[in-house]
Amino acid sequence: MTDTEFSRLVVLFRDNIFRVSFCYMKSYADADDVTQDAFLKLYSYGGCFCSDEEVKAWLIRVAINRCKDLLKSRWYRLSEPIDEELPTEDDNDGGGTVLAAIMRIKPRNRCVLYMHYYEEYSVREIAKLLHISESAVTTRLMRGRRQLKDLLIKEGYNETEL
Amino acid sequence: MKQNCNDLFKKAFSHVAPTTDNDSFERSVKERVEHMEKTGRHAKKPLIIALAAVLGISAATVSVGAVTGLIDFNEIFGHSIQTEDEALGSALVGTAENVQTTSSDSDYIVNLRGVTGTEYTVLANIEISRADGGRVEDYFINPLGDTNLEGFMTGACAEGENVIKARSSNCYVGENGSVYVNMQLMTDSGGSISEPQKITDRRMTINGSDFFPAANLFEYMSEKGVSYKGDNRDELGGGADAIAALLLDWSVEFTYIPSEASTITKGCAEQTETCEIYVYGVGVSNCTINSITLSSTSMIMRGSYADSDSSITENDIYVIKSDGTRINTTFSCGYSDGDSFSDEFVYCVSGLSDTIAIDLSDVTAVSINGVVYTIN
Repeated sequence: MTDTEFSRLVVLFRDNIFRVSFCYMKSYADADDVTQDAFLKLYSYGGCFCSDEEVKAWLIRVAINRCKDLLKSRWYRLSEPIDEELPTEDDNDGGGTVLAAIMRIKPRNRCVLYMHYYEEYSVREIAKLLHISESAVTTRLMRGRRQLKDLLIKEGYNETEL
Repeated sequence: MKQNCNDLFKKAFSHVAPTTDNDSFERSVKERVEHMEKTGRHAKKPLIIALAAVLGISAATVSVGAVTGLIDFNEIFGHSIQTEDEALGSALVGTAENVQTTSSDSDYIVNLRGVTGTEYTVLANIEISRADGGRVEDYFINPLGDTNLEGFMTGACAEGENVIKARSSNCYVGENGSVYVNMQLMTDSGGSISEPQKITDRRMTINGSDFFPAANLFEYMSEKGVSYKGDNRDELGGGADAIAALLLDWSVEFTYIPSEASTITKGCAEQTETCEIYVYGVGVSNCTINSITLSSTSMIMRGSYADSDSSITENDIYVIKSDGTRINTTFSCGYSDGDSFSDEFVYCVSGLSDTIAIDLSDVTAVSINGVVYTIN
């Protein structure tokens, strides 16, 4: 891969990969590390891609695998998490409150919600990316939405608006 | 949710962004690549070594793709077989030698996690995991989120074709997404009252197939009134409301050797006081207890009976410790043979698995439907 092409892909997808990683790791520092690992793999990758979308899907898959590896590792489980400040309600648009609620959803549901509602992947595409069935994706979306709704109501959101 | 989820997520994640600029990010990636090339380091190598080290598997074992050799149950104790305390559990741990496992699907690895038991009974814990390190749970649909599974065990046998009773006392999905099966194997073969055969040093095989989320299975069968077994892995029947299954044929073979501590027994010989017992196929019977034998993992009761009228429809049989603590037992149904019967119980504590081991030194009595028998 040429340096120019690599730079282009970093600009295009770095933020997305960072957010996917953040969804799993709930930590800016860990998300940074995972993003770097994913792009490192891309830089060293010998194969070719047919489209940018294919690159993005590949990067997401690599990042998710890396997140799972990290979360499973004995080192990670034994290490003390560094307290990081998640954005809260101090922002003007309430996004911080929603993010804090999203981060309290179970990881498996949270990731599927993010992929569907932020990355706007279809159920079929998510199933393919995560190697799970479409029914499993639908179930996780349903559970995730329900969890998010409950959490937002607790945060003072009006039930009728959700 | 009426409010657009897309908007909510866009808003929420608008604050989430990398902490460094793209130029320095690119630079650090390239520096790492250069460093790796200079040192000749491959990314995957340390991962494989680390994984093998964590699993305690030698390189030779990995290369043949099968887990063989001695399994030390101490290392995984507390994760599988439940006991009242860990120290007791460690003392009771037995060993399984020359373990061999098979799976009908190369995506799934079967592993014997540990064994404990007596000369006549074995409690075995089996883990079924994904070869790619993923969560088994992710590969079957579980709409009700039930982590309890229904498993189907096709039987167990000991060397010499002797079929022994085997039951899957519980199957469940662990926190890591793997499927775990607690099996109890006993040599008092169902349907006849033969003397228990010793399991020690004998080669045993457990065969199993298929796992279904229990609540889904029962609901599905109840609503659809259909057979539960499908042809395809992952999904039963088809359609949005289909339940999922892990359809897998697997087996575990091993030679079992109990620990010295686990072979200690207590009990009582023939008693004069009679009690009432509900025996499957016989009904309520006025019973004379011929013997009770307690081991660390189970209790065998034998008796002879005569029909009688009583209102008992289920048995209340439990072990009493010196401090008065009560440990419930399971009574499967009893096996009748003419005018006698026998049964083997396992111990159970509320909230825990029903395959637990107990400290016999503290046990002083057994209560059978209100009649208390002293144990020595």
